[in-house]
Amino acid sequence: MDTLYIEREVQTHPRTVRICERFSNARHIVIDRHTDVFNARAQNFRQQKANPSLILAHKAGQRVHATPPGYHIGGEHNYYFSHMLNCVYDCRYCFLQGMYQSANYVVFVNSEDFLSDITHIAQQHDSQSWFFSGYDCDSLALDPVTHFVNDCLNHFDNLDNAWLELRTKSTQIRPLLKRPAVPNVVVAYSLSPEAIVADEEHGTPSLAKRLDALLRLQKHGWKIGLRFDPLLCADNFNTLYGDMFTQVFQTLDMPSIHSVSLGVFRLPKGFHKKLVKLYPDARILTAPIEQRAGMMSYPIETENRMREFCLTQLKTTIRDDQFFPCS
Amino acid sequence: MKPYASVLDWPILFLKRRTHLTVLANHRFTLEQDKLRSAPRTCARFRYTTRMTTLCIMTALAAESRVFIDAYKLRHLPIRGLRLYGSEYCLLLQTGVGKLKAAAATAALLQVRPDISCIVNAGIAGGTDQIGSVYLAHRVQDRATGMSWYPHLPLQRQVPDLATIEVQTMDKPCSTYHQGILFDMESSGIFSAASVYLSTDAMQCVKVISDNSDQSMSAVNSANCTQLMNHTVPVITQLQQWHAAKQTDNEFLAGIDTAVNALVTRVHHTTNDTLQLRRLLQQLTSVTKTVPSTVDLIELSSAKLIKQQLQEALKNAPLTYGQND
Repeated sequence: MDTLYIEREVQTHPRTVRICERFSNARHIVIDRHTDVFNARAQNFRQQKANPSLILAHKAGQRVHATPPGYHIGGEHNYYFSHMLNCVYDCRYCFLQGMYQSANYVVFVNSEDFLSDITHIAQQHDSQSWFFSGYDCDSLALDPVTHFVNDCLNHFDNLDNAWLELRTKSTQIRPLLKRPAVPNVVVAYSLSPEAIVADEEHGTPSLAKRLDALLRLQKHGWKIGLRFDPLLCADNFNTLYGDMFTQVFQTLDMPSIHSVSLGVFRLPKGFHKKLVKLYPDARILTAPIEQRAGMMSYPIETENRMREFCLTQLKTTIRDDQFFPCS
Repeated sequence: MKPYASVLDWPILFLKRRTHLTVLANHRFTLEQDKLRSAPRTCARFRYTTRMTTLCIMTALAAESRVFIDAYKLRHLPIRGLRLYGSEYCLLLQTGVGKLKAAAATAALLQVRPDISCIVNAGIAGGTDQIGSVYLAHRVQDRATGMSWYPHLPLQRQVPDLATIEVQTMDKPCSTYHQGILFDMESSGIFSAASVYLSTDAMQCVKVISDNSDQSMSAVNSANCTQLMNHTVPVITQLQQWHAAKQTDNEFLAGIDTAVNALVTRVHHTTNDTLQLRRLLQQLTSVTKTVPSTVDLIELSSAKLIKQQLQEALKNAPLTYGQND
């Protein structure tokens, strides 16, 4: 990190102090509100992605949100939260590029407020509640800086009626391997075929490295989830995804997988438009795409064909109770 | 006096599409703003044909401009109402004193020169540090309205030993100095106008301290102002290099632009047709890794037929991963 923007309000927060010490050679710029920098108009996302700054901020207002309908893995009450905005990776299909003006990372240092909100919401329900992390960021990728995961795991270790999903592509699993597995936490990995990882998921660990991390977590006793999302259209789709499933099935102990989900590439229309502007040369945006209910997605026949193929493959090794069609 | 280019002259100008506008202005034409404004299609073509990296330095005073005119060997460019100097890849606009004049001049220039891809406001400012200290602004604030702009800063190694600071733009000269803040009278006007055209990574502000609590503003004269501005020249050069290095997508877009221009000059395209043509060419180029040849397409009689042919080509182009690499 070359430049740190620090909200005046959190200037003396212990996490801010620790992060500032870690990046002592960076420029430290004090700001009033993170939105002044992050939401400013006329920012060049693509240029910023090459040289992002870190913004340390306080998250006020609502910190934990209900998930969109259909976003669940079997739980009745589903919520998501983002202790960070933006992702260190540069996946060409990512909706964050369309959603945010800026490619800078925002880290909310008041994680204690997130955790107390989670407790409060969990206590409102008699049945189990699910909390998803990694919706607006990667849960683990920047953890060496934020140290959020350890605090979060300690908290969920003491919460009886709440589950946590840590969604990631990162192989930064040291904090998870250093401690015993927490029974109500699922570590879920987004997986794509190796060739797609290389072409479209810039800066992410390879499929082999992700599978290696999954295997180590599985052996350590963590519940793990597999997220085949987004499925991307290609002329050699069956070969790509068929090979990937074989690799996954051969590496992991499939019967003990907590949950598997898959979803086809889709983006809100406005986000898609912005993506075309940002990356006119992106191959992912050359596939036939159409608008349905405000979302840009592949033609329905293409979607069905892709989904059917994956389902057939998955059904050979996983049980029905492990599978959730769209996350 | 060189002749003005008429809007009817655009095909001649178009033939020089790979040439910078400044070169056009210097060699044959002077572009008349009113005629360009009243001919949006011509303007649009210029935009397509001048996708080059041009940095424009914005100063307020003649004494601030002098060092850049000498260092970059700039020549006066006659554009009505603007004091503009230029060379092939660098321009200098002398806006006059005050944020209103600065905003008006900036907006007028960026309107007629869409090839400008980056601006740097360079000038003197009041502060608490030593006279002659040079700073890059990390925040530009209009003191009167409270509005702020945060330029996306280059990496520290790209501008070594250059500290950053907040710059506040005042309506009147100010003699009260505050630690960590520089005072000037133009930067917020320039940023306000430029943010309509440029992104935050393409707007920077470099200031050199000319007055502080030990040496008041009254001691600043033309000669020592020019001397102080000498300190900013290396910084401007570094910013120019940084900006040129980040123009990575030019090749892809320039290839597409050339193909689009070749087609729309020969076959009538509406604005919507042109947009669709551009997108289809982009998609096809992404898949095939080469810009499609326009030789056969030019022979087609309508935009619709060209579009159909490109759609067919895109449909047949293989979208595969892991096989072409």
